[in-house]
Amino acid sequence: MLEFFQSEIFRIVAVGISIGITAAMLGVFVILRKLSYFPDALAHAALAGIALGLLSKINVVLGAAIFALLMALGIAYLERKKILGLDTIIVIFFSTALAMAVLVAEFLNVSEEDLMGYLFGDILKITNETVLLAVGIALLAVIILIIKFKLWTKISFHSELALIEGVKVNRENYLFMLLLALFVAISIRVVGTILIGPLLVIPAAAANNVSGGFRGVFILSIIFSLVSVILGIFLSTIFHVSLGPIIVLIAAAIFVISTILRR
Amino acid sequence: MEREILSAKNLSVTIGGRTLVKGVTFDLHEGDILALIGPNGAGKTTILKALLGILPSEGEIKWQKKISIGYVPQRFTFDANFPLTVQELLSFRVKGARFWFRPKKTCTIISNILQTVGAEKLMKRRIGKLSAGELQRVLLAYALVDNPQILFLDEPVAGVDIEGEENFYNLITRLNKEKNITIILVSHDLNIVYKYAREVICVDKKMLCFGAPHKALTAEVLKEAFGRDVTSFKHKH
Repeated sequence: MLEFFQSEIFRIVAVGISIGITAAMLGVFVILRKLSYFPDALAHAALAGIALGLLSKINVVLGAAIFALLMALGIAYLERKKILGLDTIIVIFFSTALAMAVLVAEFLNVSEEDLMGYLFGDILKITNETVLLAVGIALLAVIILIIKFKLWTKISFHSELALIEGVKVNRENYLFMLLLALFVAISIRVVGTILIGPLLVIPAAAANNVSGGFRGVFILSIIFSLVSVILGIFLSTIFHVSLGPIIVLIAAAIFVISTILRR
Repeated sequence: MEREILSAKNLSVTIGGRTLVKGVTFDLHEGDILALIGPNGAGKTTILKALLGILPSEGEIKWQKKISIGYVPQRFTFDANFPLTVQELLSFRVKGARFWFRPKKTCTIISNILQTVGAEKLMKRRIGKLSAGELQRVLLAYALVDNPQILFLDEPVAGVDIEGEENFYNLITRLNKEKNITIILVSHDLNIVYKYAREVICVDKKMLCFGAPHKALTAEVLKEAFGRDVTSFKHKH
């Protein structure tokens, strides 16, 4: 029994399910708040964090989480100040982080294989530590979302209305971004920098196509995400292809079907 | 004399160094219907938002303690694809209602409120699929869930047809009479003010008048607020 829990397939499935559920739940709020570019920006910040983690020899997941969080706070702060549009702010942060990551990777002579692993994910390289962190973050996300679901839905629907009703909108936004940054940091090794955004966005968008109410969107997003992840793991094991791209392609196929069936 | 519910003294709102409105002084008593009128850009919504605490303001605002407020915003813009049903929206405001587990009690509360505003058939509909008139009824239902003592209506019938507008204001008047709900109503339609309001504040970046519509809205005030054309305005009552 213990052998099963230590087996590679168990680790892969445990990480896959954890990341799939977290992405599905956070993804619903990401698309409804029109923040679809935001996870991409965080993922590139996380990449810079990983590069600096390698340089300073601190834990790369920690480096990724800190950098993603700093970027989330930076973007949220500038957005609140209304100096520039959110899209412009995101591009500035996104490209700065990417430039940093590339330069540090060059300086460290990071191999092409390793770089590809961070860009597109490499589930075979996940450690027990990553498994525990992914499960932990998924549990944390579930607990926070159960508590905050009503509030976050209200803010996503109409933040001014929420503000009038005394909701601390800024505080809730920061908490959401913190959770998103943690998710990005842990999923970068599994699905890769480039595919984190689609993993968050596509299942939620497909669910929004076919469900009438918010609860339905939430439940369907989780189902679509889990189907993509589990089927992706299965196909990638059989055909020896990268996991991240196959997960995204399955999610995209579900999205196409959902668009045809759109209510 | 009814209890005082709100008083504002020398209220002004300045944002980014620009004074949007100044010198607003009035008091409001339980059961009143107060109309806030003025031309476009006069600062009506600004005053409303300052009273609600959404915008920073100077001067004094005194609310009755532990007051519950309902708010129907102007031109309620939201993502029409947002996957929220009327029932889900109203459940936000029902105390103790969890989003996931909706007990029968919550459903009954929601159903009763929708019935009050004549929108019981809309319960399962997506918010984005409602007509302008239906949406206004639902937003009014939303504002009423918490049994508010005071209702803020910011040009609540913008985009609604004439019949829908008439029905909406009749409903508001009924709520005011039956439940003694105090109402602050923003409008730029003088017909509405004369027909439904008991008191009026006229503003154009500053307070021009406050009092009963027939007394306060003098030809001079109307000319200052709305320009030459309105000075010859005659209402039908």
